[in-house]
Amino acid sequence: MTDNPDNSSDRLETLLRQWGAEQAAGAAPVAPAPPVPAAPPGGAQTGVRRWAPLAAAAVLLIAAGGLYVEAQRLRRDADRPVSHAPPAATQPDSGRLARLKGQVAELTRRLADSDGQLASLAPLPEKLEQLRTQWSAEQARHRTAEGKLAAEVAAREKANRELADKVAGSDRRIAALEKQRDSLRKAASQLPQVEAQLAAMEKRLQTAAAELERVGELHESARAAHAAAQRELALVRARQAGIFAAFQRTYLAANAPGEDGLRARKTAARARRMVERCALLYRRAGDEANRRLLEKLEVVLTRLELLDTERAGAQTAFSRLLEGSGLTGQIEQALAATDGTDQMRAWLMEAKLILIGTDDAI
Amino acid sequence: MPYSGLPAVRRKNGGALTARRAGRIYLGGIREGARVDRPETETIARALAGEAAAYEALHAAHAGRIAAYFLRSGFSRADSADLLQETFARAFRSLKTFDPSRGTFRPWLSTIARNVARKQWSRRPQPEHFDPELAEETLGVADNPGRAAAEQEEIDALRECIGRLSETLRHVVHLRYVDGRTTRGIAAETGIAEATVRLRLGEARAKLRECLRSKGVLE
Repeated sequence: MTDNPDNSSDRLETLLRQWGAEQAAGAAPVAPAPPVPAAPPGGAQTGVRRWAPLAAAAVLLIAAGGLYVEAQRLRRDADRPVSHAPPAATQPDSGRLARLKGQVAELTRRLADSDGQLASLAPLPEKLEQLRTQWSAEQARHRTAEGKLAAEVAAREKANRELADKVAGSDRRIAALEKQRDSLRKAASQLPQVEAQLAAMEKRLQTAAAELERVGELHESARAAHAAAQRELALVRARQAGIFAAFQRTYLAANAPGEDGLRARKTAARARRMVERCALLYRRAGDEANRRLLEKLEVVLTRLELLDTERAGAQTAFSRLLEGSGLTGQIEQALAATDGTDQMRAWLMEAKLILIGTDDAI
Repeated sequence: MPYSGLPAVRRKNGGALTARRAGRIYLGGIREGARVDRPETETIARALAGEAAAYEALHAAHAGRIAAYFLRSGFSRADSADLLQETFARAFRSLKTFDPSRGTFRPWLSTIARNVARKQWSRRPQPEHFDPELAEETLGVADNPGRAAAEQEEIDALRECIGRLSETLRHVVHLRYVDGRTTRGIAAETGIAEATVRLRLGEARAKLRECLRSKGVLE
């Protein structure tokens, strides 16, 4: 009722501890009270009462010792010769003698009593020694037993600790397994959703497979069409090559009658004045690419006109030059372009007729 | 056979059981003749004058607390009964040295009990499974008649809330706060992991806090 929110935990702990201490004190088994120490008649003198028997024994021993000494002295006096008596005793008074005899008798009796008491005390040291020996043996036995029990306790505590460690390890493994089980349960709860997603994915996959099959068929038909077109193209090219070869033969036969090979081409180039016409076209050409092509063709045609056709090495070198220059493709491109003039196109066609096929012409 | 610390003869005679039975009989008889409600200094004076009932009254007033101290310090029941006897035997022998002007009887007797326990611990290690702080609090627990009514109400409310706990949580609370065991000690006693013990204690405290709030004891 007096707590504030900040220390309610502390207050609860305090209450729990008070409750626990009270419970423990109330439930603890209580042994009976030890024997009450006896009180002296006069009140709080328990210490004196406790030591009284020992003091009495000590007084008795001292008294016995005194009596023994006195008895020995009297015995020596009684045994002493008369001649040793002092001169005053040589004429004794009868009354005094009788008193002395009585005293001697009394002392003799007391001496006998003392001897008896001494005799009764004689076994005490031996008994005391026996008790000491027994006490030592008992003490040693207790120490041995205590050592054994302590070792047993230590072994049991060690075993308990090891068992507790094993239990803790088992608890940890159980906790880990429970965690895994929870994960599996969670995964199992999501299984229907996953299965639905999987079914949708399978459906999409089937659709995609059908589409792929259809595309494959289209691709196959396109490839067949492409192959047919390739074959058609090859036929056209072959036909074109045939036409071109025929046209070339006609052209070379017209410009170099009776000649063949490179010599026919050389003669045709000279007859058609290819180099001079090239210079004229170069001056008129506005396109830079065409000008570069005309430069290259002028060089090649000049070398053709100067070629020694009787020498096989020169023919081979010319053929390699033409092959490595790529002029054939460039002539085709220039002819395909629509920006050239008719004179230019005619000259390029003639250059093509002269230069193409020089390998076969060697 | 586990070590109990008792002499062989006492163990053969079933010392713990005998002590418990004798204590019950003894406490039943002391309520009439011991006059424990009198001021303690007067009781001590009567004991010093040799009145046996005064000794018994002192024993009845403090024996439970001292016995609980020994139990919560990790001693077995039989050992605790022995040590309780030794404590009161020493106290009664030295009663004339008790000076009321320097303090009450309880701390004086508690010092003797601590010395008796320390003597035992010098022979063997102090148990790790018991919380010495809780054991020490046993010696300082207040006497019921002197407690304020409000505080007693709070303790009663707590007792009721503990009664509402489940058996498992109540057992852990009892081991901790009545037996005075440490977390490790509870784990060793119950065979569960220390982490689980801490969790259960935390759960029990939370439920008790909620219950005490509903009763208006805590805010």
